[in-house]
Amino acid sequence: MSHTRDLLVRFLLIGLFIVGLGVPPSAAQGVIKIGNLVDLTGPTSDQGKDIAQGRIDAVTYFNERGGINGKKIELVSVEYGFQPPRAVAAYKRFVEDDKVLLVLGYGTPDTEALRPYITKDKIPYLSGSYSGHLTDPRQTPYNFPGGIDYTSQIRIFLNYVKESWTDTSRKPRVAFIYADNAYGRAPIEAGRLYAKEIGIDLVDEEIIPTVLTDATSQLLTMKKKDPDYAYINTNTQWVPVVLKDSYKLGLKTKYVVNNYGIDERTPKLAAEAAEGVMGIQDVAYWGENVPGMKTLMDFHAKHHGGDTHASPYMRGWLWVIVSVEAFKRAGDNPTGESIKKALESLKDFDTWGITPPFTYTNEDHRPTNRARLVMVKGGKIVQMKEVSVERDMKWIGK
Amino acid sequence: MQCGGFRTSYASDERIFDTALPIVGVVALIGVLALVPQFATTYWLDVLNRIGIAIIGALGLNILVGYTGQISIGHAAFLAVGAYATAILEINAGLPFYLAIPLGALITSGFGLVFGIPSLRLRGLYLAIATLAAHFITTYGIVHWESLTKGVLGMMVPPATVFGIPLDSDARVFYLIFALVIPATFFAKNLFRTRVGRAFIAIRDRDVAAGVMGVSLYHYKLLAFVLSSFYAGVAGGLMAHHSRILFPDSFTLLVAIDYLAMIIIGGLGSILGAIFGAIFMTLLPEVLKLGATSLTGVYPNAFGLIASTRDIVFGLAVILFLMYEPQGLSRIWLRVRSYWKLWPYAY
Repeated sequence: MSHTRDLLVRFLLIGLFIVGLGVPPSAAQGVIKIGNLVDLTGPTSDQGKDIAQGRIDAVTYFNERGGINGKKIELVSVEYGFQPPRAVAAYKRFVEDDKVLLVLGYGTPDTEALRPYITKDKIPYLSGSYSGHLTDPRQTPYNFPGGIDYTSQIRIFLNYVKESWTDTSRKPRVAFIYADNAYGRAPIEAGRLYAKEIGIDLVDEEIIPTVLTDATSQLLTMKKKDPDYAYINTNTQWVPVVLKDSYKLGLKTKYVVNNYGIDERTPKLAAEAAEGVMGIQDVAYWGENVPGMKTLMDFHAKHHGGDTHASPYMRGWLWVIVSVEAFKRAGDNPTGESIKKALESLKDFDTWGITPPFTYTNEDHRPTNRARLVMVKGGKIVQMKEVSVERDMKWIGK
Repeated sequence: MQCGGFRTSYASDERIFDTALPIVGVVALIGVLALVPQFATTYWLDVLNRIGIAIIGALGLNILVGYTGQISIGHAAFLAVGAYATAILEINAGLPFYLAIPLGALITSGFGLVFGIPSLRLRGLYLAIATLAAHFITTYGIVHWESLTKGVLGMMVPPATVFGIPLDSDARVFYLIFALVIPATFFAKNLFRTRVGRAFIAIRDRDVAAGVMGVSLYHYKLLAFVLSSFYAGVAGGLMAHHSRILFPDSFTLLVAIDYLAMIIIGGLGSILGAIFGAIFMTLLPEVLKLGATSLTGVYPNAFGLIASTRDIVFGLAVILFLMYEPQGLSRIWLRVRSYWKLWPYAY
């Protein structure tokens, strides 16, 4: 009996293998294929789960309304665990097997590593990475960061410190706390230069591991330098570790967190340690009163009303909305080049109010220079004010 | 009529193939592999390439763990050394890949030699912890020696070139990888038909007894580490040429555990086992992913759910194999084969 079972197992395995090998790339007409790269199991899964859900929902939404120019959208989804080599394999698959026309990319390490491939293959690549290194069309013509770039964000932070500093006896002191990967490091060099330029003392830099369990030793070092403000550049699930350890150690430093490090979940995750912490935010929050939110919430309630999402869900929608507009403008036979041109024709494009209007040009791939400053107050995240930074060409690609 | 094996000489006892049929099979398999890049998609070529690399790595680990009985969880570190050494030799010293890969593997052997020294005094779990140290020292070195390795920002590796043709696609790298898988397999298979291989097995079965019989423990334990890390070095060098981007994150402790799982599931102390284990462990997540993708039409959340089931399935597979088939997939294969040999007149 067990022999028969063994045989079955063996044939099943071999059969699966052969079937898999022989599957030809499907070349269905009338379908627009978009690559969808997400991390659901790695260190940024706090963003990935909602981003994936947002993208899938938005694509379903547009398909229910007839797709783009009569064609349905098909998402080719790959989960890559925040491992750049796996992202490269996924990218090759998108381009060579699935012949996608656009990729919705994900993290900074992989997007930056893919730059030469993307430029060579002429595949528009709308990434979840807002790294400043992707904003210069002269170097990376097909990379489109899907939100206000990290370099602009760190400049906003430094401008804010400068503006709110009232003590004339000394310059303000700041510190940077950032994750030990390409994402964490992306804006740091620009931050150092800009701090020097506008007369702020950068007194300390603390590098924290990507997966963070304890930040005590870094914070004790930082405490000796006594910065007035610290900028945290890591993910929402790791920021509370810094905040809690800081609260425990009694640091007086005021924290400002970048867009991927703070959202609706932060007050819950960090409890009293989150009070007074500020953040730079690129998108509207879940259920906030912006024009497109009702459509989005209605769709959500209809399909899976039982759950709630945080701001990454809105980013998932946002990037699909932008892509759909680009495909609409690129006409009936879109190519990588025509989609790139279409994206670069977006001028003050209204993203349903989820973000400030987007503008890409063929000289500047920073979609916007505006964001919101938010703060945790009484266990809730509230908006302080709109902030913006000059679109200075000096910082492009940095 | 003879039934079963009647070996009358040592030569016949050591023969790899008893009949001509398996030889034909192996040749046919190589022939089919040579044609695969013509019709397979990029996705499956990528999977096949990863299988090829995993086979070389698993063969190396099986030499050390399965045959010599020295437990090592430092295999990811050896892969990393091989990958980075190859890449650095090519980028900084300008060596062609056909020199860089063997040199990188030799450097890895040196590493293996150094980190094998504790095996002379330590056994079992204690040795495992000592190799764990090798892992952490290596990853620390890669992350912080930024002038050489570019640290966490990752290192781009240029494609290897053969007669001016860049090996920049999966189809081309496929030939490079399988051109090395075949000799690696034959070398490992033959190793255990020699004096050295028998010494390894004697050490695994009882190192004190082996020592008493005249096997130099000092010599052979270190040799096992050197050989094993040479294989890891070759696998690492191929990884550098396959993904062409190196990140310290690609060589986590989980990779070492994956390799251990490969040889446990495939079969400890078996060449075929290393190959089966490498295939199984590389294919399983892909099959899960395919299942998830095909289910998304019916149930949109399947994509997210199944991505996280990988680890559960792996854990279950290891437990079930340890319980029901400790000798792994290679044992199942043998049973299936002997069934066919006697079919339809099984006893």
